[in-house]
Amino acid sequence: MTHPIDLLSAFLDGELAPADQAEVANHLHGCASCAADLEGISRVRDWIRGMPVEEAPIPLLPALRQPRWAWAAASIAAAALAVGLVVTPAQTEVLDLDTLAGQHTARVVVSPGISSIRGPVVGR
Amino acid sequence: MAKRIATLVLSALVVMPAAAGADEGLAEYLESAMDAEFHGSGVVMCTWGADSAATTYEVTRSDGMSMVQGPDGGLMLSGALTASKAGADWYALEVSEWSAWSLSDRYSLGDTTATIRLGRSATEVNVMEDGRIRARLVIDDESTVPLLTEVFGADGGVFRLAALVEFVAAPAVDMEMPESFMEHEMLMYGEPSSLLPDSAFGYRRTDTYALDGSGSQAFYSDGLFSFSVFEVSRGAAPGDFTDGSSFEVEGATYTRIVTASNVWVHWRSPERSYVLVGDLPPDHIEAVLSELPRPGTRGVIMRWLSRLFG
Repeated sequence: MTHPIDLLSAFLDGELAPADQAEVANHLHGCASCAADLEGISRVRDWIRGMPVEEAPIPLLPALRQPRWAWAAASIAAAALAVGLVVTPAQTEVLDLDTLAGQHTARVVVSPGISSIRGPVVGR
Repeated sequence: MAKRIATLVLSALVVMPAAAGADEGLAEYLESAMDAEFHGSGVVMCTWGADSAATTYEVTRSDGMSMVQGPDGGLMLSGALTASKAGADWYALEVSEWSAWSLSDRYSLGDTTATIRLGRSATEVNVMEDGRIRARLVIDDESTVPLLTEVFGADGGVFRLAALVEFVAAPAVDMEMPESFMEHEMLMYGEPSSLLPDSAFGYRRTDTYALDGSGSQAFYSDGLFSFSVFEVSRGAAPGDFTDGSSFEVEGATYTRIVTASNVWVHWRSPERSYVLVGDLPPDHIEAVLSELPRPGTRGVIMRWLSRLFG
């Protein structure tokens, strides 16, 4: 595998397909360069997360037209781009497949079809 | 209702023009079978490649109600209301509205053969899709209930098999819905996603429901098979997919889980996260996926901007 620079951020977020996730993990074990890149991405991401979050006092787009906001946004963007960063917070929303199964089944059973005529099966 | 399915099939094949008549016969059968009263227990198995799953289930349908029991729990169905039991409590989910059902014209009735199954007079029916056998049903003549259902993949192999091993037609049972529910939720119509098509590989998006939080459930059906596509924020994680298998469609990678009654597929497009669940066979799934938003990662700038500005 060539150096998976483009995949490191998605790897950190667990957004890769299982096979790709395993392949990148294997690569990181034997590649000091990519491991260092990953650590750098992780560190800067933590730094970004640590920044205070404040609500914009006025609608965002008009605010961005103001020199002060434009400078702030441009500075952060430039800093991130300069080190090739992808800034992604941890995933928080978890989909419960049992809930989705219940919603799908509830709709399936009100119309004819191959599953509804034999009776639905409980669970997923 | 004796010999009803045989009559339906006969009328479809003999009285009406072949193609249109056959479709009408199949549609009439599917509609009548949904209300047939019976009690049975059986097994459902599903296989896709190296992935397979099986489960047993017991179902009783009487007086417009159904009771289903499986290893993972039980369901009570009455009209648009589905009640599931968790511990000692019942939870209800009710579908507020849904579109009229219609059967795709790609399906037709094929050969029919009189047979005996579970000691009962039955009719074996082939369901054809564009001239190729897609499903085989062995239908109880008295009740019109399918005693055996086989769905075939594109290679002709069995994708899903549902077989009753115990069967009683028109059982004398009294069923009652629970008097109260711990929760009673309504599945309400929501705004259709602009990213999902109105139809995919002949499956029509008939209804869209709102999900808790942000997201939607788009329900697609071709009248024989159906599936839901849950569209949520890209950061949402279906944790149970960690043990899923990867597969590719036109060079794009998806993750799937095969259960006895459904196949689950998860992927992320550059904009959203998707979970598809349905009873459609693998070749249909692959064709459908090729018409839905494709998997992909976002570029550095888009990822950065979306996280920074939402």
